[in-house]
Amino acid sequence: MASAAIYHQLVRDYYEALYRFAYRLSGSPNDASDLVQDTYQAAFESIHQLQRVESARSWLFTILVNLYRQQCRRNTALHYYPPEALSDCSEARESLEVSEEWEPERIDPQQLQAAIQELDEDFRIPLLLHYMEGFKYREIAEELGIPIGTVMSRINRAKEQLRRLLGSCKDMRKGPRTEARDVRHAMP
Amino acid sequence: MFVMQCHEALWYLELRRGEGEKALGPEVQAALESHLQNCAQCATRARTQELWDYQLSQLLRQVSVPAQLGDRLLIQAAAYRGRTLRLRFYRLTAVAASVLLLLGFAWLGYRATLPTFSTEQLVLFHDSHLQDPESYFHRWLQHEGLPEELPVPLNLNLLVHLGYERIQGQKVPVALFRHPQRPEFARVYFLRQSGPFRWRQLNDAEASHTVAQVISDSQSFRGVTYVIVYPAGPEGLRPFLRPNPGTS
Repeated sequence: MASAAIYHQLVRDYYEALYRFAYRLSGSPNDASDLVQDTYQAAFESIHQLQRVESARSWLFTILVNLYRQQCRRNTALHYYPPEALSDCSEARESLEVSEEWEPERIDPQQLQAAIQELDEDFRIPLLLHYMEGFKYREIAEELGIPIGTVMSRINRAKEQLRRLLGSCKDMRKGPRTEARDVRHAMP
Repeated sequence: MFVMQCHEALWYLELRRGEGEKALGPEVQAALESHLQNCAQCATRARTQELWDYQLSQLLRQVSVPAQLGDRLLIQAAAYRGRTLRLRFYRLTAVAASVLLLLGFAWLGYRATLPTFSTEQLVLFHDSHLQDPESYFHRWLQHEGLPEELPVPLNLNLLVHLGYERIQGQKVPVALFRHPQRPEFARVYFLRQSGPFRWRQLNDAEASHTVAQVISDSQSFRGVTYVIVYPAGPEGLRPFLRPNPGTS
């Protein structure tokens, strides 16, 4: 059985990162707290599977992602956009070019979160793992059980989507106010 | 060094962003750097992309963590550990109780298989010995697999005891007879020729008060050698023998 020190170390070292990630993933502080607590509960129950404390970070994030996906499957209210839908999106293809008008200081945190929520979870998860936690593509591929090329492709598409959605939000400030969600739903 | 095209440069830039500098070998790294130096469009794109990545990363990390969450999780960890320890204690207790119970039942089972010391049977044996010593003696001989007749006609009314003696670590059947008048005894040892002793070297022996007589006849006595030990004296073994029908 793991010692009390390991339990405490797992909490102390990773709970903040897990919460931030869970918040970006779920978009709700309450859901994020629940997700983190569920993650630790699942981690404690299967702590014997943790072979090295050094791999705890990746292990905890994998648990969190799996729990989130399970919740998404249970929660029919959540939207699911198949990747094919996005690959066919001409709008997305057009946004391959990096916009130099990107102005992060003008991005409202709520708009950012709304835009992230608009991303499909298959794209959102690798994007957040990479940009928030600095996981390398290879690590993400191992965690999610997908090829590294797929990880690269999904992160790129997620970025494209995000740029486009945030660009729309920026435009919305200028024009009539519209929810970011509506922009996404307007996709073919 | 090979010359890198724009689309290749973009791909390697992406790989470098995701996997770090070490993901590219020195040759590819050099080709990429060379391309970026010579291609203003790709260089701009790389810078913009890097800036974009950095700013996105910073933006995404701007999440305030609830103040109580850490404490709640530590309490949760302590509670889980406590629950696990309790569960483990209960489990160990249950296992220990089961083992004890099993041992108890095994002990009771073992005790149940032990023979009962029956005084009634002892009384019956004793009674049989007193009432009919001849039958008692013959039953014993039969039980021991010994010939039914002795080589000398000993008086079975003088029989005191049937049992075993340890001689040089070996268990030897023996019959003990008392003298009819004096406090003297005669013993008959039954040595099987298939037993542990070198019976061929057995000889008669005599001391000041005791005589040992060896009687051996493999055909008559079914492979048993008799050693009769009795008091020395002019009467010899006679007091222990069955009286003749004609004498009183």
